[in-house]
Amino acid sequence: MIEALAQAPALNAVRASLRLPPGGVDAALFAQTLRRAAFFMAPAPRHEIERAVCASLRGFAADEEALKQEIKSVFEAMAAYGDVIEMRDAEGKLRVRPLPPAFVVRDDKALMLTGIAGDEITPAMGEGVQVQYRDALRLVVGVEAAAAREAGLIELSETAWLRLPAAISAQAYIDEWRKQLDRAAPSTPIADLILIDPAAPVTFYSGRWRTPKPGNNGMFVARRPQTYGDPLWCAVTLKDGVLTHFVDLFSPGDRERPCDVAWRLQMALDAANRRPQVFRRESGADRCLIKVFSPLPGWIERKLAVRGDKIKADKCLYAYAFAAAPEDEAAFLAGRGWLEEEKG
Amino acid sequence: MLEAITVRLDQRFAALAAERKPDDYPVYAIEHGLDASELSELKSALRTRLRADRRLDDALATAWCVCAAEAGYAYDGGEYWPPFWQAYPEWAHYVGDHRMQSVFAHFRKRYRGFTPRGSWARHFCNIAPPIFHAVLPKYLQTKFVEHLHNQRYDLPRYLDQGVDALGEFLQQSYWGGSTRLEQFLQQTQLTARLVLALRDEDVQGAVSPIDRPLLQRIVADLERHRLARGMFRDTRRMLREARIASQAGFGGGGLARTASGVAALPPQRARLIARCNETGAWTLFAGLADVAAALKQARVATAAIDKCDVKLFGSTHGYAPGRFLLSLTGRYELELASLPSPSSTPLIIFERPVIGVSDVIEPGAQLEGQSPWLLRLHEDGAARQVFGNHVRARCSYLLATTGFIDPQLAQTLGLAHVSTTTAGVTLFQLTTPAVLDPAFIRALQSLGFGYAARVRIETCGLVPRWDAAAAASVWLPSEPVMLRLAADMAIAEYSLSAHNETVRITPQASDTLIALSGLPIGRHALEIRARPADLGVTLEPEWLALEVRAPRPWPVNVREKGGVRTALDPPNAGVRDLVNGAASFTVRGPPERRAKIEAVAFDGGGNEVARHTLGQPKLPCASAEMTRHMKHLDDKAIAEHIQTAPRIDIRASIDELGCDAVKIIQAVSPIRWSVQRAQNEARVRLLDDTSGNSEIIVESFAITRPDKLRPANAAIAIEGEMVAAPGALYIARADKRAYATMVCVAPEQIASLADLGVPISISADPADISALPRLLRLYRAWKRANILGPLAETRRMSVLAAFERHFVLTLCDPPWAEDAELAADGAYHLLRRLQHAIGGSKGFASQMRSKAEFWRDAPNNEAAAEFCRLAKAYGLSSDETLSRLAFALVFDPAAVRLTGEAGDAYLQVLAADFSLARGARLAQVSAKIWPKGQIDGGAGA
Repeated sequence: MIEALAQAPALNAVRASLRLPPGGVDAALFAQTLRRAAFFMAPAPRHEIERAVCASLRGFAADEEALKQEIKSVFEAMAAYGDVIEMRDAEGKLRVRPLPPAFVVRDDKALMLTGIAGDEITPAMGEGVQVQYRDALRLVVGVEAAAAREAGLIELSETAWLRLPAAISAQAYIDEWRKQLDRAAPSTPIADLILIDPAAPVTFYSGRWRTPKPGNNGMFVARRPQTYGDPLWCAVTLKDGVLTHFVDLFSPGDRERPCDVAWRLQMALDAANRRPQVFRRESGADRCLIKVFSPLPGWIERKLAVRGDKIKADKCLYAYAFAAAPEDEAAFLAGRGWLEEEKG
Repeated sequence: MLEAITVRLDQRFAALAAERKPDDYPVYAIEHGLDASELSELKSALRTRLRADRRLDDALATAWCVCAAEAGYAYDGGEYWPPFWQAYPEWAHYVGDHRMQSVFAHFRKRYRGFTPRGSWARHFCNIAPPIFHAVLPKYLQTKFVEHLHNQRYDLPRYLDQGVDALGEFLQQSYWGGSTRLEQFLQQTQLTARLVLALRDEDVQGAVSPIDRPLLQRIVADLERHRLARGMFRDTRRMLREARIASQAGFGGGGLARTASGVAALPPQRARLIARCNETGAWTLFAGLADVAAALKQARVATAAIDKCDVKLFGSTHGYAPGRFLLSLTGRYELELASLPSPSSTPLIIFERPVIGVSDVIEPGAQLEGQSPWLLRLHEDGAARQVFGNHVRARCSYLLATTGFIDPQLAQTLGLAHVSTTTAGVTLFQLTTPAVLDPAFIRALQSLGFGYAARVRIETCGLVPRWDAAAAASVWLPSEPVMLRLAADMAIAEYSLSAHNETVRITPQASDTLIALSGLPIGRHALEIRARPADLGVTLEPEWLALEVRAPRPWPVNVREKGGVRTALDPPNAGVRDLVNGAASFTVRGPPERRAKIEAVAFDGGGNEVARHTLGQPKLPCASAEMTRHMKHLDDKAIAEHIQTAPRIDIRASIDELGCDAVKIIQAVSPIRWSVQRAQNEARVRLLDDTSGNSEIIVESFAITRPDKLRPANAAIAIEGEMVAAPGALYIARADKRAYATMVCVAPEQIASLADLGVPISISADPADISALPRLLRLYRAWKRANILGPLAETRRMSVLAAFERHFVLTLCDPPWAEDAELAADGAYHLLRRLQHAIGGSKGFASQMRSKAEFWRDAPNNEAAAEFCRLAKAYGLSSDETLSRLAFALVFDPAAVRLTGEAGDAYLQVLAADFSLARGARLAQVSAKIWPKGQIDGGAGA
């Protein structure tokens, strides 16, 4: 059938084909569209997938720049939850690959689905099983783990899914990277290098980025441009604002994404500078929030997602909502992320 | 009572046969129409009669078919007979398994009964009839439905193509996973009729190819399974809708229609693609059509492919085996270091033409079009060849040419030279303005490019899958193709045509959103015409190539895209090859990550029966380390499952990255030994699923006396035999083939490690050289036998060692042979004495010791050649056959074949002069203890 459609029915037709309920241009739509595209485009650089999805949806969104940013942020969440992974190819370039369909049993017994089931995107788990799409998360409620296993999904233990890095002090983590910087060959200046200003307020993440300035000395988390794709995450050493050494940030076996390593290193640097990053707890009538002001590494996001739902909230970068007081999570942020709880 | 049921059954089957005769539908024994209590009565009546008659009454053949088919319906995919014997113990005593064939032959003849086909049915001719007369055994139901569900979009196209085409489609489209379902799908007539019966389940009046109550029974069984229930309902709905669409004459999209659609589109050749690297240089690629699919579509046999040697254009390596073509699936992009010249040069080069293969592949392996080529820059940064060479306004292109472009022309078009890594071609970037003036258009025309005022068409909503080779976007049936149309001028009306449907649309705004949905599977061409409001402007029609394909089952898709890969080399290797290091298992995944390697054993029904972790190496894992992990396949926890399972998966998993596995299929022979265990007891029984025309000779040898033939026990083939600890070798010989299995039983009590040891002695006299040929045959039988039971591999090694020791005693004389054995066990001081006592040349003896490292490391054939050379050089023997025989008798007795008088004569020569065999044995001992023997014993003295 060929038919002309208005904007809203056209969008709903797209949503229906992705098994989403009628609605607008939201994070769940981005996530499903990204999963679908990531599967058949893989292995592909992340920016190519994001660009393709952005191009396909731009006619439905009012602000193309905001659309790009939202798609990028949903992709971050998908990578953190384990729908996709960035792996290095034979030439050492990062390429996105879909992860196989799997599930984790949350504390509330809901099954959190991860991975991409090819053309189906989310694998069928029998008649009447409804998948709830909450932004980048897919949850199945009221279904036993056995049914998911029978449908061919891999059951991930919480430990396997969290993939927590070894516990280490902030200073020890900084020292690891400082050693790598010391071993790196001296570098010539890099044009368009930007870095995170350790002196800027830790509650305004985007305001912390700037170019190097005279008087900047020591180690910084930075991004350096590349010909195609997003700027690369790196750690740099500056001497009076001039670049002397740099190393690209990565983890062996791509267990963590470069941005995860960078954000963790910045947390460590902030903690060592006695200006730790902060989080805030807020209790409401039916839920408790943890608000954060800087992006969190994927493994911390996964830990929070075991019980909480990621949401947008006022006066923060984003928040996680919990049904019960998130004592464990607060302790985790303080202990493993070197964050400080902001009172009041 | 029995007579009454028999009469009823006869009437029932005769009526079914008469009803189905006009449609040529066969009758199945499971369609008996009896209820559960009648069946139960029939079973007990048949048993009583058999006990009384002690033979099978031919008048009861139909009743036996019914019971056998019922056993087939409950069959679990493992062994058919043991549960049948348990239900009907009298059958084993008084009838025998071979009669099953003749019982069903009677049914076939009398009622136009179903005849199983295919290789499996031929090999297992006794159990195939009862299993396939069950129509769809319970254990296959879920898997069959899953297969139908996976094919639900393609299936409707075959429903009206006849039983053969439908059955063949079901067989060919199965992607694997269950060997038993593969065997079931060989019954193409049965599976096709089953699908047609499901489709027409609700059609009243028509003759159903399968009895409706039986269908209801199958449906009811399926409904009990949650996962299958949903898939089954979907599939049934799809089948019924296809029937209605077909009757109404629309929407079916049958093969002929799709074929015509394909014919309307250009033939698929290789398209140029350009990608930019980090330095800004462009590299050209040729997007090849799906070669594997083309071969499959042309029904090219693997044997024909194996006759080819091929290589890709530009490859610096030699020709690869033809099977390489099967790896060219999907959108394979061949990087072009240089452009083929002339451009019609095939990109897949055959060493020599092979009719039926090269003529299928070569036309599609040439570049589309000729220089200059036009490539449009796409959103993803790649430039892809444009079909039709039409330039659009406000677009960016790459122009690839092998010729010269007039600088004046280049200036008019604003061509900007860009660098390329592909030799033999010049690349320019062309960016077209919003309005193309006449000079620009003329310049384009002089290059052979066209221009037309345009309607801009963008896909939106969903990212299109792009098939570079077909220059088409690819969609699933559930996905709407959403297009956004816009034009540089006011448009009065759009006209869109696809798949026999034309729709006229009056645009309401500057952008018009169009949705195409419900296109049938296949390739389609969408034509878009626009009528401008200003009648003075003419717009050329636009064409979009679309392909709608069925969704692929996700387990297959995920394997192709996931982050962990496993491989088995050679691909047909068995479990023993992995354990012995003759085959390698490799895992590819992210370095530094640990992969969990597991062996998973499956029963005949594809159900997992055992799982065992073999290791958790860090990647990349060296082959020697992986071989060490593979040795754990012999671990007691899984060994017996590994020995008997028809399918073993060796699986590698990395936490969240998922897993990948190689599948090892272990052949099940029509004549085989089956072991039933209860605690520490084992009963062995011969299963014979052949036609029973050949005589079977049974032999057995105890592990403790491995060359002593025990009295033949004919009862083994009927009732089985208790196996005494530690076990025995059973050989069934038929049609010049031997089917050997070694069965091991654990000792009843194990108080210490000593209880695990078993004294093994060879009965033959070591001085009797004439016994050697027989002993060598037995040695081979022990070595090649299947093994079952605890410690089986260890026991086998002990038996083989006993034989080897006996061979050395015979060929080297006992005192010398015993000293050699002591030396091999650490008495290095004996080496000098052994060396001096070899006989013949001292130099020869010295070489046997001093070349210990060579004997240890060299492949057997190289070591044998060197042994012959030394034997000749030092004057021991110039007869190479004799020297090779002496060497092989010591190093690899299983490879020795002694036939006729010549063989006997050679043995006599070796028995008369021990020096050759002693030399070989000294070489073997020196190799075993190297480098110890060199130091402590003083080599070369």
